Order: sequence, then structure tokens, then C-alpha cells
Amino acid sequence: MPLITFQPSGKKTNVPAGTNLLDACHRAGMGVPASCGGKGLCGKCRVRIVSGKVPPHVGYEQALSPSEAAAGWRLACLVSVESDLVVDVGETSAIRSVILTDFGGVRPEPDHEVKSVPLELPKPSLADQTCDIGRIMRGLGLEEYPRCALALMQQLARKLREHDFRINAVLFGNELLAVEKFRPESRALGLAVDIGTTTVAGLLFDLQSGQALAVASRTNPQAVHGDDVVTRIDYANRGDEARKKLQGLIVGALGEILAETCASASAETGEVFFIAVGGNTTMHHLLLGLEPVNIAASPYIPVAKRGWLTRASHVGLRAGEGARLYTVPNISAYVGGDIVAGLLAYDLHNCDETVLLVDVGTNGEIALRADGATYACSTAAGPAFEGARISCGMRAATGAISVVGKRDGKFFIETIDDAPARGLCGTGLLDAVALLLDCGLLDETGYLLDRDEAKDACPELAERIIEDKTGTAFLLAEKSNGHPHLALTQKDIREFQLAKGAVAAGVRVLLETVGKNTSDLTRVCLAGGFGSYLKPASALRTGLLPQGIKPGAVEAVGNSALAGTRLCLLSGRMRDEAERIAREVKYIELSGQLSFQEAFTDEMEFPV
Amino acid sequence: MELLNNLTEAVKKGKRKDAEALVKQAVEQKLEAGTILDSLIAAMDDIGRRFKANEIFVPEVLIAARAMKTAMEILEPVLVDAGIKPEYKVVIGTVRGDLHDIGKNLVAMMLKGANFEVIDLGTDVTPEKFVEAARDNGANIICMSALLTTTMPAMKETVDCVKSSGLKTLTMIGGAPVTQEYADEIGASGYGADAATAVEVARSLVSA
Repeated sequence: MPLITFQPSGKKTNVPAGTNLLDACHRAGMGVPASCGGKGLCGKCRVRIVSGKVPPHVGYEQALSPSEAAAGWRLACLVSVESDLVVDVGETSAIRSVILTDFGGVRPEPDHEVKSVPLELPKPSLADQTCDIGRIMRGLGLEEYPRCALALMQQLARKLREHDFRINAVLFGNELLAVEKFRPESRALGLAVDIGTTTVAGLLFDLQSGQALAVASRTNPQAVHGDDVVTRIDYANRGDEARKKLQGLIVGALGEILAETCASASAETGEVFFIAVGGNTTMHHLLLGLEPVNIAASPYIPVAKRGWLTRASHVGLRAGEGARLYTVPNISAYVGGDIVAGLLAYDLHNCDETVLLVDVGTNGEIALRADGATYACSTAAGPAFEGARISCGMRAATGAISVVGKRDGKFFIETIDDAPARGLCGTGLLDAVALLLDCGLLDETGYLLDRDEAKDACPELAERIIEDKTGTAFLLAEKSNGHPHLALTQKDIREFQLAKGAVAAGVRVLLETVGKNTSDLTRVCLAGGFGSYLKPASALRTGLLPQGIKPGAVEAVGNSALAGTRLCLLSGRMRDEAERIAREVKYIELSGQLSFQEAFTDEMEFPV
Repeated sequence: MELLNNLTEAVKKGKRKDAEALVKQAVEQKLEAGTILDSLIAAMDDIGRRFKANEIFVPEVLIAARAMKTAMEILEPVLVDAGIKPEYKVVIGTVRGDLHDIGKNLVAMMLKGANFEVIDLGTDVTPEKFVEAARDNGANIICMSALLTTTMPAMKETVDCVKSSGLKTLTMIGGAPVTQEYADEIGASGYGADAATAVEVARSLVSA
């Protein structure tokens, strides 16, 4: 079997001959992006063959120049592995820690529902014939038996004696989850996870102290089967096998996040007894293995909306013995637990102001609090803000251009970790468009001026206007050591218009539905990895947020989905509160609404 | 005619305000309504051609169509006075269960731009509603769109429903998962691979 060595990590893996290189990368945990799902259409899965034999580059000619192909660059999805290879995949796995562990908003108050209690039980004797579970009950100071699954009861006799009656009893409320070896220093840990359509982020907690111990994130591996929820549902609809495959992929990612966070906290995955997951309704269904088919078609019926408590092992996730898995409740087919968690995290559901919460992910989910009620809607922004469908787009990872601007009349970019520029992430895209508008290089319809026109409009930046493979483009970064030049093309700007038009139109229609204006908003909370890092000024300049919002009202609130999910992890009261939010929020269906269509076209234009 | 050329250009570029001002001027100068309309149709034809050739993308079409719509609002009363009416009518909608209407809206706009009278039934339209609207309006064509493989069967139901109703209305289908083969299979009269092709197919269907 051919051996693949991945650079720069040095990781090695054997694969059967004929394996697709992109598949091999993903199986080895290399986060090579592939927004088209490995169909050779997006040109994102560029890797460099350092040594070994691969056939010449065929298909999708524009993706690689002849000189790049000659230098060993290939699209991984078009390469079949036939012999040993050394492949440079770049620093793809280093995602910026978009996870702010110092969340604002509601402080968690751990209620210690999940705990691991060390017990040194008196051994049975003729004088003390208390039954096994009764002995544990007594040791725990309980009046009645703890609840206990039959499967655990069946092992109880052996376990107690194996450990010589010195055990740790793991409890979830009044249920006995596991009986383990005596470990007085033992912790009960929990993992809060935000499953995004594109990115999955997890935070490990000590459930006693409520202390965050470690963070990790991954690209959602399901993305190879479609980069938005509709295509992913379409894939799941192919049959049980496809649905199980998607479930397996996300469970695999959760397993990796679990292992990585535990490793960096010097803990064992066996100490994790509770996992709380927030995500949009589709991600929720795919994790639990529920059929998402009716989410996609009108009238949009999810299988379940309320929060769900089950065993982690039931979805195939290995953690501590008997570990529980909780999913945050959903509001509707397209407004999921992530927005419930967001409302929970900042207590927006109980506030008296007129507040907007916008979570700009692949699905733009928007919630509005006004006049004592909460409303929510969802718009299909698409994955442009997460780097997909943008020619030089990438996730917010090392080397991504995250800031674009003009300082003292000079163009500049900043990249994540100050690494050489490798691509453009959502915040950089937003800045770049704002800059082009400010300089008059982009008109209100989204037309990018050609160089001659640019000379009149903005002489100092006109030279950055180039003719790219696809037409006019704006040069962001020159070619450097093996990396091709990076440019924002006219088509990229069109993709951006679709994405921002959808978000702004959603906000506008939601406001109109409840009879409010943009100027009524006292707070606009931007959430999600993109929302936390974007420049509010750029969001307003490009019209990602509709006109009339006061600049001072816009604030970045971080990963609110994760913030709220962690509250659910740490407290049953918060889970109840999440339940109440999901029940009370009024869902506004935008699709098919004429006013939305009109707003969408209006908002696709740029503010003058 | 420079004014009309400018009007065509303004619509092509999606400059709504310019298009509005220019069409007003044209009307004030008492240019023939039909000629003004032709300059608008020329703009949308160009948009359709470039869209089909992948030179421009959805936002440009939507923005151009919006400029077209603004211009038409001014021109319509003049056309009515001149007795100029669209020759053909289409009924359009997304099929039952499907609420994804960007593609449908594009087709509707392009058809309007090609001087069809378009009765837009919106989204999630039942077979019965399609038939009823076609009958009430005397439509020449029913256009259906579906984005999902799961909602495609509703196209067949609609085509069947049209046939059993005894109406002679033609049927056209389109949408991401739809193919010519599928159109043939369910007995639809035509298939539009994209918004521009849909207009060509509609034109050839009604003139056949």
C-alpha cells in the first residue's frame, strides 16, 4: 500500500492504491478545504506534491497555472494515489482560536449535577447485608436508590468487588451513570460543542468549578458532502447509509475534539461524563441520526425540537462510561439550538430593549427582541463569509488575510498570525469590499471598475486593479514563495452581494414584521466566529447590516452559540431556560415572502 | 437613438435611477412606446446572453431586472394607452413543498423582460393551483421550478394534473436537480437549463 507523508506535520498514513488524495487527506485528519465536495469545481484543495509520482494536472484548468502544476501543485480531489507520496498540505489545521473562553453575558453557575463522588464503602458482612446498590445509596447519603440503568446494575456486583468497595460513583442528578475505580482526585468533566455547518468548536470544562480547561476546533467533516445545509440534507436523503455516514463524520470530529481538549488539559476522555451540543437544526438531526428530509421541503418539519438527553454511546461517541449527550432545543427547521444558546448566553430573551442578535454563519440566523417578545428568522447567506465560493477564500486560519485597509494613503493587509498570505477569510473580505466602496472602485450595483476607470476614481489604488482569469479583479497580495497571487474577483464580489443581501434583507423584514425601524435598535449583537472579528464599520459600510443602524449600537459578542451551550452544560436551570426560550420565540418564515424577495434585491446593492 | 441606447445601457448596468430618468425622458419626448419597450427588452436579452455565458452572475441579473421593473412601471400606462400588450401569458411558481424561489424569480424577471405577461403564484404551489391559475388567466405556459430532489415529483404531479384537466396549456420545468431527461420522462413540454435558456424555450414553445 502506498505511504503518504504529510508536511508540515510529518504525519504518515498508508492507503490502498487508487485512493483519492483528498479522501486520504481527510482520513488522516488534514483539514484540506473542499467546498465543492471534491468534485474538482472549487479549486480549494490545492496541495503540493513534494516527492512521488502523480499524473499531470487534468481538469479545472483555471485552478492551477502551468508553472504551478510544474512545481507540483495539484488539486487533491483530482489525484489518485498510486505510489508513495510526500504531500505539503500547508498549515491548514491551525484554525485561529475563534473561541473566546472569556465570554461576556450570563455567568455560569455550575449546579454540580454531574459529579464523580469517591466512596469508601463498608464491606458487607453478616451483620450488614445491605444490597449493593443500597450500599452505594447509603454512601451517597441518599434516602432512595439512585436511578440506575439495568445494564449497569447487571455489572454492579462485579464492579464493587473488583474495586474492593472503594469506588467513584458518577452521578447525573439522581442517576448513577458509572461505577469506577476509586480516584479521590477524580474530576467530572464536560464538553460544550457548537456544531456549525462549516466549523465545529468545543470547550472542555471542569463541571465542579465551571472552569474552562481547553478548546479545540475542526472543520465540519460533513462539508465534503455539501457546504450548506440544503445540499447536506440532499445527501442524507440518499438513504440510511448516507445518513449514517454523515453522522459518523460529525461524531468522529467530536471524538477528535474530545481527545484534543482532554490531551491539552492533561485529562482522560474517560473523565468526560456530559457533552452538551448546540447547532442548527440540520446539524442537530445529523448528529442524532434523525431523518432531516422534512426539514428541506415545505412545510419544514423537524423530527424533534425540544432538548434531548441521551447517551453519548448511542450516537457512537466514546467518552466516560455512561456519559450523557444533551442537545440544545431548536426553534424551527431553520432556527436552531445555536440561536437559542445565543439568546440564553446574553439573556436577550428577558431584556426590555430592542435588540438584534445576528449569527452570521452559513445560515444567517437572526433574532429580534422587541416589546417584550422575541422573534427569529433565518436566511441562506451561504458559506462566502467562511471562505467558500470566494476564489481566494479560506477559513479564518493561519495566513488568512483578516484585515484589509488603507493607512496614510497606502494599501495594507494583515494576516492571521502574521503568516504569509494564503487566502482571504470573511473579515478580510468584508474589509476589502468596504475599502473598494470607500475608494470608489466599486459602484453601488457591485460593478468593479476596470483599470482605466479606476485611474480616475482612485489613482493610488488603480494599479491594484488587474485582469484575472475571470475578468477584472483587485489584487490583495502579490505572488510569493510558491503561493499564487491573491485577488478579489468580480465574481467574488457577486457572491458577497448574495450573502450580505440575504442577511440584511432578513434583518429588514424581521424589523418590518414587528413594526420597528433600524433606528429603534439599541443593540446589535454580532455573533459567530465571523461576527466576533469583523469590523462593525465595514459591516455598516458594505450594507451587511441595513442602513439606519447606529454605529455605536453594533457590538461583537463572540461565539454566542458556544457560550450558551456551555451554560446548558453547567446547569440544569439553564437547560430549562433554553427550553422556555425555544418554546416562546416566534418564528418568522421568510422564504416565499414577497417582501423578502424585494428586500433581498434591494439589499444586494451597496450603500452609496 | 442615443437616449434609448443609454436606457438600454442603464438597465444592463442595473442603474435604476438612471433608467427611471431616461424612460421618463423618452416618454416626455413622445417616443413610440413600442420602441422604448424594445430597448428595455434588448437590455434583458443581453443580460440573459451574458448570464448564460457565465460572464455575469445572479446579482447582476437581479439588479438589472429591478432597473427594468422600475422602468416598466413608468412605461406600462403608456403601453396600455398605445394598446400594446404582451402577446403571451405564463403562470409561474415553485412546486408544492419547495420554497426556494431565487431561480424561479430570475426566470419570472427574464420572462417579463422578454415581454411575457407573468402571473407569479409564488412558492409551494399545488398542482391544482397551477391549473386553476392557468385556466383563469388563459395562460400559454405553466412554468415550474424545484430546487430539491425531494420536491421534483411534484412536477410530474402538476404535469399530470394539467393533462387531466383538459387544458392545452404548455408546461416548462427547471431548477438545479432538473434535467432534459426528467422533462421528457414526465412529459413536460420544455426544460430551461437556466433563466436565459428558459426564455428561449418559452419563446419557441409559444411560436411553435
